[in-house]
Amino acid sequence: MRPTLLALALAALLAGPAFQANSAHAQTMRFAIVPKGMDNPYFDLSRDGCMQRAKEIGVECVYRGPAQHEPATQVQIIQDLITQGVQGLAISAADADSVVGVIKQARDAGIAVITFDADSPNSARQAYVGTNNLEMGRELGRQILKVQKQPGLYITQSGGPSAANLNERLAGLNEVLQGAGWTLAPGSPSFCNDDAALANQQLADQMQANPNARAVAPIGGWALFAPEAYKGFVNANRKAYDSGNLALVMPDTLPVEVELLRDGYAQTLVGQRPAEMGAKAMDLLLALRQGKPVPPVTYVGLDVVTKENAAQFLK
Amino acid sequence: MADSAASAAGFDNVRAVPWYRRGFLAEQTAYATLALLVITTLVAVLAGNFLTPANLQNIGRNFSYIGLISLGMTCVIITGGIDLSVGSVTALVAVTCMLLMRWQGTTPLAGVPYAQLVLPILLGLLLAGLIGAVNGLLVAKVGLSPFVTTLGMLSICRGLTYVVTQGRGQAPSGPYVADFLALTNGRVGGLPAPTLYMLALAVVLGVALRHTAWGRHLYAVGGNETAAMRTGVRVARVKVGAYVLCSLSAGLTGILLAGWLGSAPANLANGYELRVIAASVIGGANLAGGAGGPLGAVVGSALIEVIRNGLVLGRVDAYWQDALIGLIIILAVLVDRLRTRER
Amino acid sequence: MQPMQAPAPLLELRGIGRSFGAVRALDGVDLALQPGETLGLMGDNGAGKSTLTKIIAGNFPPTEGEIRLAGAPIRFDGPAAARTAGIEVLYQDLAIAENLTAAANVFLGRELTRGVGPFRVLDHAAMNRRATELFGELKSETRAGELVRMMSGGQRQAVAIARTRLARCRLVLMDEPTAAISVRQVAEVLDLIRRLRDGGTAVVLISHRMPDVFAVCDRVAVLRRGRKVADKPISASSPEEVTGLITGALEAA
Repeated sequence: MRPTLLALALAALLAGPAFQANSAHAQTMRFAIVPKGMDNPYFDLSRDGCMQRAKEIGVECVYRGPAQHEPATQVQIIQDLITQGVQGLAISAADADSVVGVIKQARDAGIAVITFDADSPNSARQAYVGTNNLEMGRELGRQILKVQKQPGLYITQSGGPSAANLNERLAGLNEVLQGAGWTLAPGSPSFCNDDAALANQQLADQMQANPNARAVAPIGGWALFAPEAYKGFVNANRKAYDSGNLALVMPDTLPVEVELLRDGYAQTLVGQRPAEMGAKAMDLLLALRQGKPVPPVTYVGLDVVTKENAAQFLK
Repeated sequence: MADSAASAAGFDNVRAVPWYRRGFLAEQTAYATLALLVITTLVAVLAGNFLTPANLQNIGRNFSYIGLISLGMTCVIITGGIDLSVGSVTALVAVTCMLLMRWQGTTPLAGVPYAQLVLPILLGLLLAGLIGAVNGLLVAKVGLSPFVTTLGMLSICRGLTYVVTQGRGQAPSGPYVADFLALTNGRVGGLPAPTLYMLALAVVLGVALRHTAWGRHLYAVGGNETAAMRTGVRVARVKVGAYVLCSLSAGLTGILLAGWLGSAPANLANGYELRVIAASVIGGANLAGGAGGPLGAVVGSALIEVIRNGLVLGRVDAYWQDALIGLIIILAVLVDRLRTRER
Repeated sequence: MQPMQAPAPLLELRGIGRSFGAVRALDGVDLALQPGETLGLMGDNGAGKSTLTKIIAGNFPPTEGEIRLAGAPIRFDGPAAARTAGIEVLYQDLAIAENLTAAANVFLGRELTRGVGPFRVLDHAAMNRRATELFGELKSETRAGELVRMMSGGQRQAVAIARTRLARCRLVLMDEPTAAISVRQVAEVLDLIRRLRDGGTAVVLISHRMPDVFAVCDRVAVLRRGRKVADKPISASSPEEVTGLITGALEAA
């Protein structure tokens, strides 16, 4: 019997202070930002942007999502946030259709709901803030054309076949490159399941299979999230890269990526602005609560980072 | 039965078993139930909106999905096996059911009343049963390790899910969508449909385990497989049955999830296998085989859900959740070990 | 006890052989057993005793040779079939599941059920009653409803023995029943064997313990390296001779 008591005491010890620490604010407005999965560093930037903006406009921001990318768990968490009584929700939909029901539930409960980063166009969400993914894909393509004038084979990589935003980016990339006479390498895109280690292995494999490829342009920054592995990949293709025969144009501008660019492991980065999305989300939710009109779709811009302007992104 | 240790004669030296080591109290499930009550009370006190009807409804539905699969998983664990494929079976059956629903609209069957509702569900469950049978036959007849076999099946089913959907989520369709939603996500007497399915299945399984020869053989196989074989228990058949049941429960859950979400995404139920195994183990299923039951599966799943829900409502840092559930798992097996060793 | 006058022996083995891959576990073993006869089966480890036991119990078929039961050739496709034919086995490891109750173990594989058609539920009361009766007959203070995990070695032995007495059987195979129990319990087991014999049940006692075999058996058969090297009335043999046969100091007798 004693072990049970011990267990309970432990649980109480753990839970007690945690609960109390968070029950202070009652009067300020509380908005929740729900990522697809909390294991993705990209959403950390949205969280930081959101937190900072929330402080500026005098609201509270709660960052909460499934530990790993899974639609049903995300819906359950949104339900709990409704129960908890938040006043606004900004959701990056793990699956566009799965959140339709729970968004309606939230709206029925009088909660302002917007989507960010990954939209759910068929839902009752009041606004969407995110990247124009088609445009981002095109921008990746345009940047490749800038550093690599002569058309050839190009290698690309996606996180998984299911994500609509990634598929849009692919379409944009293919549109620009193929319009300029480039050819997609056989076996591209590879799907890395958002796994940084796997992403690097796949890039290496594809270069091995297509040694004459003239550009590597994944549509997400997965490979660079494992910087040492990525450096190994670039060093293995150093000759082609240094002689100007290989374009390395990478998406996103996380600090680790900018450092890689600064140190000469990529020519260009085309970045989304997840922090701006988080900040914009707070603005939109506040406007909605105050009854002000908001545009149904807000696109945040793209950052293009090269060696010249890298320093200002590392501040 | 309650007579105290009388004169030891013949083959034995009888000692009465102390009360706390007998009956319900001798089971891990009793401790899990106690923990559930205490933690629920704790959460109810600390998080003000926990006891609202809407929240209780949510909890009821949420834990039913894990609970349903845990019922099947418990059967497999009782035989001393494990089934890691349940999460991806859930997804595969969900998308298959949705695809069949849409496809049937293009066939002559579209004219048959309710065929477009009933057949996709039945065929989806049939698929689940077949996957379970393959798992079971590979484990029981060929003698492969359950861990490796079902790990392979996990990958196969998730892969097939992506292949058939090309990664796109599938929504329920056809003239019977409203019926489908009512069937999978309706409410009877205030209780969400999934909860009712889970409770009904738990009761049926409880009776089957305790009061049928099949149930007894399940425990015998897990307790001492050689003994079961020598006494004429059809060990292979019992094991295959357990895997089929486990897959069926995962398939049913997939269909229910698709109804609730209004969508069957390809990454549905990703990682559920670990939550299901955790729920079963917390509820008293022993991975060494021979112990466990439906009440434990239900209580274990409820415990995990109450903690998850409580942490959100209590505004505890979300990153704590997995750590806390891990702690509970280890405490559960620790309590079990300490309790059974103190003789 | 004299071999009875019977048209055919209860159990007859003819030229039984069994190979496991390249290993020859049994080779040309003939053995006949009359109703109510008690045979001591002896041999060193690996001599083929347990292989022979498992063949008779239906765990696996012989590679060659024939088994006859009351004169008719028979082939068991599993332990349940052998049991239906009236052959019970008391295994050395007792073959009990510790996570089940005593009664559940006694009835394992042949549970009593009630109900109609395919809807049959266990008849717990009947099984507990019958198990309690059997434990009473064995003079064992074993509770039918208690988990075997909680039981002493002697109680476990009683559970395993009770199982062999569940149905009216014609032959009981006992694999080292006295190896792991106290002196007093050994006496109980030997007494049980005598009672079985008096009731007309044949017993094959597989044992390392010479005194036990000489105390209760009518006949002794010795296996060495898969072959039967002796088969004679106990009265015509001696512990010394049997020891010699087991070790190979004596070729045959």
